[in-house]
Amino acid sequence: MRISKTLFRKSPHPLLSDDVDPIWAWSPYESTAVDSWTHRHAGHLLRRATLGFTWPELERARQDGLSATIDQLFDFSANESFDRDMDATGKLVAATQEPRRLSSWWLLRMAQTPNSVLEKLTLFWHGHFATSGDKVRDNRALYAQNELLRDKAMGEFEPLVHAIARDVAMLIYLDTTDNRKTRPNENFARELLELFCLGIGNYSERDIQQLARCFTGWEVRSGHFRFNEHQHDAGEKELFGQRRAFDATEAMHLVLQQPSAARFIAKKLVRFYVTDEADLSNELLEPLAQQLREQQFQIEPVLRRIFSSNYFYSEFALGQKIRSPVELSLNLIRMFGIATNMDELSGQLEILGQLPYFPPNVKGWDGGRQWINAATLLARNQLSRRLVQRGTTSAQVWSQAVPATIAKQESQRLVETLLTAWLAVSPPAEIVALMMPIAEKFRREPEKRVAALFEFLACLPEFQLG
Amino acid sequence: MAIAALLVDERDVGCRAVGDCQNALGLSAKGFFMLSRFLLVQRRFLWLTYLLLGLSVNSVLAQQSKPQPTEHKELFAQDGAQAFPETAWAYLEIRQPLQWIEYVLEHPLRTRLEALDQVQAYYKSSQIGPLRLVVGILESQVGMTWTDMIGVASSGGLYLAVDSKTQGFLLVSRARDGETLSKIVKAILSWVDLDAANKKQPRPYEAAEHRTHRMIQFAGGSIARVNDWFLASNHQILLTQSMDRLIDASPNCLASLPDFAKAREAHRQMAATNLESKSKTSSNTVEGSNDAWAYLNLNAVRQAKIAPQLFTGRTNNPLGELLIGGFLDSFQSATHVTAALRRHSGQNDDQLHFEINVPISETAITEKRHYFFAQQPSEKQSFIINTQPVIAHLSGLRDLGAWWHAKEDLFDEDVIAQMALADSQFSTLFASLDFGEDVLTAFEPGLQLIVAEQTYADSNPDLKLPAIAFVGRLKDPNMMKRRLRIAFQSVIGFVNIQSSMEGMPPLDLMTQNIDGIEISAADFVLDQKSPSGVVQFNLSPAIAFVDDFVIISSGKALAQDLAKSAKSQPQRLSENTNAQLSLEGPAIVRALRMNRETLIAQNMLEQGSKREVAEQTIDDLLQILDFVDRVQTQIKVDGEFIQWNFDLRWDADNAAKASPEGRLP
Repeated sequence: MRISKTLFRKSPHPLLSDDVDPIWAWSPYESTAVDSWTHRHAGHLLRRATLGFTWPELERARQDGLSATIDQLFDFSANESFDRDMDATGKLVAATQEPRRLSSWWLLRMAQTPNSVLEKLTLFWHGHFATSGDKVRDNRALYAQNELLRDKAMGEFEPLVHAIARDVAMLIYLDTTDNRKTRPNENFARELLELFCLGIGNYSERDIQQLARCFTGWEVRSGHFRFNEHQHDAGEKELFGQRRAFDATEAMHLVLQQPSAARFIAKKLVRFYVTDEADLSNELLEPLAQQLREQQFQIEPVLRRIFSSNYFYSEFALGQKIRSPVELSLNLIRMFGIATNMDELSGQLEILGQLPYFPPNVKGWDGGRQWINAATLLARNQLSRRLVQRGTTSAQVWSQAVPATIAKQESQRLVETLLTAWLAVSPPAEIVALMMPIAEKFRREPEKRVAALFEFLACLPEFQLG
Repeated sequence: MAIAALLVDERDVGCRAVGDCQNALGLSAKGFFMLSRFLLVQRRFLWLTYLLLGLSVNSVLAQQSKPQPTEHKELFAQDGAQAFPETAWAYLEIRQPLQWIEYVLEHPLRTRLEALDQVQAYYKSSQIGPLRLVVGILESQVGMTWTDMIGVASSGGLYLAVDSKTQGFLLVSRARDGETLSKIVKAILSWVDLDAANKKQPRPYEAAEHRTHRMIQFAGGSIARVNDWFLASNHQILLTQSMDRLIDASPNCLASLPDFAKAREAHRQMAATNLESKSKTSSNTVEGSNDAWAYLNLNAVRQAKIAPQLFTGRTNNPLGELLIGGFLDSFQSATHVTAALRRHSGQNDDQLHFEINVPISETAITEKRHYFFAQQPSEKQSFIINTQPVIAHLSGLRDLGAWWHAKEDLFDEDVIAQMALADSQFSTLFASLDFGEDVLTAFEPGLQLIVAEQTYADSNPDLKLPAIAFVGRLKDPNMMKRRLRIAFQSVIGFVNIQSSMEGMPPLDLMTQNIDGIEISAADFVLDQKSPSGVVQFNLSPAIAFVDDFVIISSGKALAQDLAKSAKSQPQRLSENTNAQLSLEGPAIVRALRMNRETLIAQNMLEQGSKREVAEQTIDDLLQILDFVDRVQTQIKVDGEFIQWNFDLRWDADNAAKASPEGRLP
């Protein structure tokens, strides 16, 4: 049964995405409510699309409205100076040959970037094309891959796949350097089909074997990609039912022509930005997949559509994601303007299971409920507190976090405002009631008041939701 | 009242300034009190409130003071050390504290530091506000600046000691005169009263008396005045006994302890000698009589089991052992250790000198530390080869072979195991030779390490490191030259194989023999495919032989320079100098400036700061380092003492650029 927006809004039970009308889901957001664009909606957009936002940014997004805010988020002009400085810093860090320092550098970039949407998408691609410094151990190659992901993040997917197939770090990580004509290595071919482009069930073992032959002779020499013609299998291959002397470029093009490719990418984007639900139906994803096919797999238009959609602002999305450790820490850093030691932050994120440049395996980070267990929940709370207590001085943190005019508001209003800005979903009323005495107690001391309320909120389960 | 009783004989002088102030304002003491209470209740003009309260209390105290004649016949000591018991284990004396304070306040570096944003922010913070207020109140009450107050209160010296018997500390200072001292004490107590009143707490002290001399007892300690002497201690008995010693000029005191007296006299003679020699060699003034001097009774320290690791005779750090092991050895048998701080100042020179002296006898040196001290008269002076421009320079009299052999006695099992592993690995390079047995023992006692700036003709590493070189002398150059050269070739070959695996360019090894200098050096072969900016490009390793000298360097140019210097002008360290380390400030700053971008990146990552903030921090740091001209430390050994000294020379040119304006807030 298909349900309309009105029906699912009224439903008292958790709904399955199968029940949603796909056309309605990805149509521009509209609401029957009088105030359809509140702090909550603006906060939801900024929380999901970016790596964190300040109070003025939240206020501006609410005032500008959805369409203007999305235009502003995707406006990547006037960042040249920041990019130039960060690139220079990144190259110096890469020269140290300490992969963990690269993690610190990227975290710093994510914390300070004026282009948070692009940086978050780069993090998405890093998880998608997972490559670990534990195996690659070549800072320059890792740094170059990071630049590649950022450079091609918003554009067409096919050039990105072609570039990543020639990327030195990826070639080392998936053993493509051992891919000889007489003994094809199937690692890269397998992951290209399973993890990068199509997903399990959309190819055969024979496709993997044939695709691996296409990549024979792709090598790394003196730190650079090299095509070794003598080691390349130039013979005829049968791939997805077609017989030809495919080379790797033609083979990758054919892979992306498969019907499942667009759905696969759409699903990964929706899981990263919208909901942790694993079983998103093909039917629901089809409008996005269709758009990808029609627009040469361009990523930015699809992201704009997702962020502007009914589904994105529905109960299927609001509070339906657990913040990753990187999102959790960077949200706080950006929200409170915290300056903290990035090497220490790297160490804490490693404990929590998400150290950039060091994904756990070729699948990247599973995300969702995998982020939370008894140990990591405690560590996440400690990380939140440590960041706000040790970053710069606490007074600066709290005055940056919440303007004085808001911090001095009447208690009920202040609590409501903070809940809307800081949490994706409101906690139960009895929990909210516990905040009132705290707000009253520090009524004359705005900074302590905000700090105490944050301490309380940071311990709530709702705080872990993005 | 207690304060009045304490300050009984100076009441008129003490209240003159207050009276003048009151008259000028046309207020009585009661009027002062009422006005200040009003302001306190209003919580406005806090500084004015404290000032008025201070003046009013002061006024009342002065009016209520009554003179009491002194009837005791008292001798009064003239030396601060006479106040302390023989059981004092740590002692410090500063003859002219004000000169040290003025030195800090008037130093150009202070002006530079105060201009830093962080310091300015600290000055404006709530932490410094109350201190400003208290200082302001005290200055207004006493009628002199806080520096003058310290100068007057300690013009006869400042003395501090820790007693092993009572575990208490005692501070003694001798003022210019008793009147001013009482005025200062009175002002402080007035402020204490005001602070307690403001906090609605009872007065935190009580008055007491000891042999007609009054004391003030706080919860955590006591203060007292004996004539022009001021005493403070956290231990009541220690304080009263010290008052007795001062009053009676008692001979049973620290000053009479033979060991102490001898060490103190030795220091004074050394300072006088230093003063005389400096006066002869330069136009500088040497503040020999105004230095700070400290004495530590090591027997008492041992008994109290303080810092027991100092007396174990082990460092468990091979490098640290090599540098200062012999110095620590002297601690095991010495009865005491002394330290002194003095400054040399002149028109073109501004230098701080700090030294630690430990009495030593040659028979007390343990065998395991023989590598540290020369055993033969011919070995008494180590060589030194000069080259320019140098960043750091270490030269010392060390017998590497003996040091390696003594490892079982010097280090614990973990360190010995690591050294054995290193022995095995290094021995591989020397084919049939054993690294410890054959290679290290092939060197004469004495070594030199040089860190120098280098240029980058063909390569441009992102991180620009200075070149480093080791210089030693071979006992049998004809035999060892060939073995060392082969080992060097092996290292280059190994590096080339490793570089090839990492896509790095190879090192090309060439050997030249010019004017008696044989040098083997390797350069990277760069082409268009070579990576750029890698840290390895700092290297152009070289080994050079001149006469019996061998030079192993990370940079070819440095090896060549050192080889030429070794051939033309090998020198020796000055007499009695066991080791010497020099750091050249301008060269260090130049090396850091070359790596400014790297330092900024480092700061951004460690502080999480934005680039502009990191740039400012690094530039501030470099500007501060600009003030340092040279840092030098030496270990000197003569028949009686082993001395470890440090000299810090400020850069006069940079110092002149900053004007000594302003004072501490």
